[in-house]
Amino acid sequence: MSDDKVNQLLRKGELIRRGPYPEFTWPAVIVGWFLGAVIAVSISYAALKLGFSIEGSELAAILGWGILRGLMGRTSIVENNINQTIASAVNGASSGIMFSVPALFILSNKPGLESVADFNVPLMIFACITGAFIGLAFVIPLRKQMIDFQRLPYPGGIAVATILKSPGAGIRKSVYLFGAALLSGAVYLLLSLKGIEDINVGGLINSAFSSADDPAATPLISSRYSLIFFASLMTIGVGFLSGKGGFWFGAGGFICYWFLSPMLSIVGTDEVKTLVESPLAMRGKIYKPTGIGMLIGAALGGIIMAFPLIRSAITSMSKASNDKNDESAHRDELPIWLLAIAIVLGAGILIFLAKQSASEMTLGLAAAMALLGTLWIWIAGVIVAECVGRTNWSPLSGMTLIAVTILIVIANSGLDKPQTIISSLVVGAAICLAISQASDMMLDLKSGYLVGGVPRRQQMAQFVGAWLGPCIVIGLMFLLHYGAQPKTETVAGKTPAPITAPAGENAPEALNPAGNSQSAETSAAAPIVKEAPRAGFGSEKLPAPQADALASVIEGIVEGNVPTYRYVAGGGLGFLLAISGLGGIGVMVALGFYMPFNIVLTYTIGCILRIVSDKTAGRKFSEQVGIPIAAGLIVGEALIGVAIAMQKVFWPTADVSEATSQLLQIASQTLSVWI
Amino acid sequence: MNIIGQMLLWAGFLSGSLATVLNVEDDKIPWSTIPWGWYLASVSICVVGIVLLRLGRTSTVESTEESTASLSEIRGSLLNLLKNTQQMSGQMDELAPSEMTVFIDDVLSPDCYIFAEGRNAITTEMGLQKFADVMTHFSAAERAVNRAWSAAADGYVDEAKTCVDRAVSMFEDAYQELG
Repeated sequence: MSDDKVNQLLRKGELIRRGPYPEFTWPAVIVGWFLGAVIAVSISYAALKLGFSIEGSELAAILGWGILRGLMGRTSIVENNINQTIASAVNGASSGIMFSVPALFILSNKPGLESVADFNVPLMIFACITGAFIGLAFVIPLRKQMIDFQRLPYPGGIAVATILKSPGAGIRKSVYLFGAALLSGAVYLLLSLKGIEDINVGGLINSAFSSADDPAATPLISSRYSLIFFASLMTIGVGFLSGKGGFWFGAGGFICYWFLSPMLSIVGTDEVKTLVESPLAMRGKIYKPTGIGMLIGAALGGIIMAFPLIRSAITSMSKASNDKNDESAHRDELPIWLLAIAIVLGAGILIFLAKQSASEMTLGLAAAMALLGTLWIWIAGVIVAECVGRTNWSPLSGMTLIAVTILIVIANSGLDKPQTIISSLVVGAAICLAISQASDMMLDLKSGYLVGGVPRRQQMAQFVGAWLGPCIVIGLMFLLHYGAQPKTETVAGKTPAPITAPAGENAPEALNPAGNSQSAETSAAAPIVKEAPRAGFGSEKLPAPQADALASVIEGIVEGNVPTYRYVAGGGLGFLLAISGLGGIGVMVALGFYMPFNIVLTYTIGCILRIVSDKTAGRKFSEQVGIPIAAGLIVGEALIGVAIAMQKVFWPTADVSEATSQLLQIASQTLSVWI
Repeated sequence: MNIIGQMLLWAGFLSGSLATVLNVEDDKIPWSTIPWGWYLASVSICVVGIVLLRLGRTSTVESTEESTASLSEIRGSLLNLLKNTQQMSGQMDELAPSEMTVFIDDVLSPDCYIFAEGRNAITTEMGLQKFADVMTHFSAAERAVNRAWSAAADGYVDEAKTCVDRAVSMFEDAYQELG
């Protein structure tokens, strides 16, 4: 463009910049690390307290936009994309670690397992970093198949891309985006304050049509149908972005609760007939294990079915990279050979780490654990990348559960219980991180595709961020666990060597050396060591619900109590759906079995809205209006979720109502400015 | 054949699912929780359904009227994309950045969507490897267009021009692959 033309455009008020377009820069890296650390701390804490973890990409994109553009005067959409990639890579550790590592502390409260909390911390951090790198190396080559060829929607990726593009998308789209974000955030905040998580439509219908004369009459809608909607506008937004592609996810849930449960209430045993009336228990006991099995079967079938496409993709990539007409083509992706080296090296390091994790670990056992773990990372990475791509939900817990089950079965053959648990969780945490990083990478690559980022740079950015998360999150975990431990205090006499009771739910009294409990009244002369109720992870203050659930399952696995038969039966069905040739329905139906039905129902509303919008108002309307609104619904709820988590970390005693009104005030001001 | 295949697939799947979830757990012999005879019979029905579906698909592939129409539609959209990006590339010195983003949104995006929606016709008509080759070039071109949009929105006119030129080259390659 000539200088005259540039001056002419500048006079018209156009924005003109010359020179290279900033993308992978130091400001992006540093801001990404900083934001990732803040978000990881907040979300990790929320995961420990409340049991949920949040995808941090949206927040990183918005904060990055404010910091990079607003404070630092940076001017590049793709640079902010690198920032959010790094920040979400750092934060990826929060969901991975919070689900697995605290289980060791919780298990250490059980008699005979006290030593499991004495695991090697640097080894654990190193294992998590290794796992994260292996997960990335496995999933990166799938980018072409899942994003370029299959064009999976990745609703979270679309939301992030919509935020990133908002500076250039025009006022109208920005108003839709931020208006919807404000609405979704305000609704979520109010629901959180009121403690409302679901809307029981079945209950409302029953109470509306119930007869006051006969309160014992059969309700119109039985509880087995579980007509309860998850109160979340974000979920509707995700459903909208998934569109008709999300149909099979809903179908899985409907098959469970609207076909199988009613059928079981007729043909099932008495035990099952009772269970179907409690959908939550039914899910935990039967549908979820079946769903896990189906996911694995569907993934294996999907890999077999996708193999020709993956092979074609690799052939096509190498053909494009040999094309001398396009110098930049081969620079788009990290080379396969480099990723292969990373996998081999990672597997080797994992063998070393498994060997070091327990004193009695043999090399053969360590190799078996590490190699099977590495293989599982690949399978689970494919499963999770596809699930997130189609629905935005990741079956991380189910995949980790299977990993830990496999590892415990191997380790149990040569180690005692505590060493089995420690070694399995060291390798298991690595797998959990790998899966978490794999899904985050694919989500970020989707947003990168939509803003025109170079995949290779994003892939490198993910590696740049992935190492930091484990250091921060494991550090935070120790701080919280040991910071919550009560200090022992002596009431009378000289300080003895304290002999304390095994920490249980309620252990108000100390034990004397003989092991008998005594009180201050009966033994005034002897020093009394007071012990508070169980503190740290698993206590009321730090319940760590996900890790607590994993700890219970681990106990069950160690005792040999695993519903393998259900996994196998589910696996067969999932495999058949995957090879049916009906395009990825196996994983979707399986995920419908696995997920809570309230989420499935609300998600389906979004899918239906999209289908209706496309049919009646046209695709352009969906793109110009629907997608920014749906993205806004995701962003608003995610932001408030993180804000609530941050409030709990930094201002734990602050008045929530006051903070809420201030937050709403700021949000309305922001919207006014935007409008 | 397709309808019968679908019916058998879903009948087998639902029946197999029912067998899988029929009992809570047999405490004495956990593996006997699942009625395996029933389960295997259901799986067999499912397999027959899948075989019929696949046979049905093969015969559908042979009657290529519909897929040929689809292929010609996506070929048309790819040609439009090629012409329009060439036109845009030729006008880059004259277009203001705000006009570039509007051009991409209004002129290029609809054809990208049509091509992407109909892409499976390539597999049906020309095989998987050709599909991969075409999509490799097409997706690289689409990503270059997306990058041109971002660069234009940020005012980086030189980068926008480079990306549009690259998109032209990639669309040309995709069109040549498609034949």
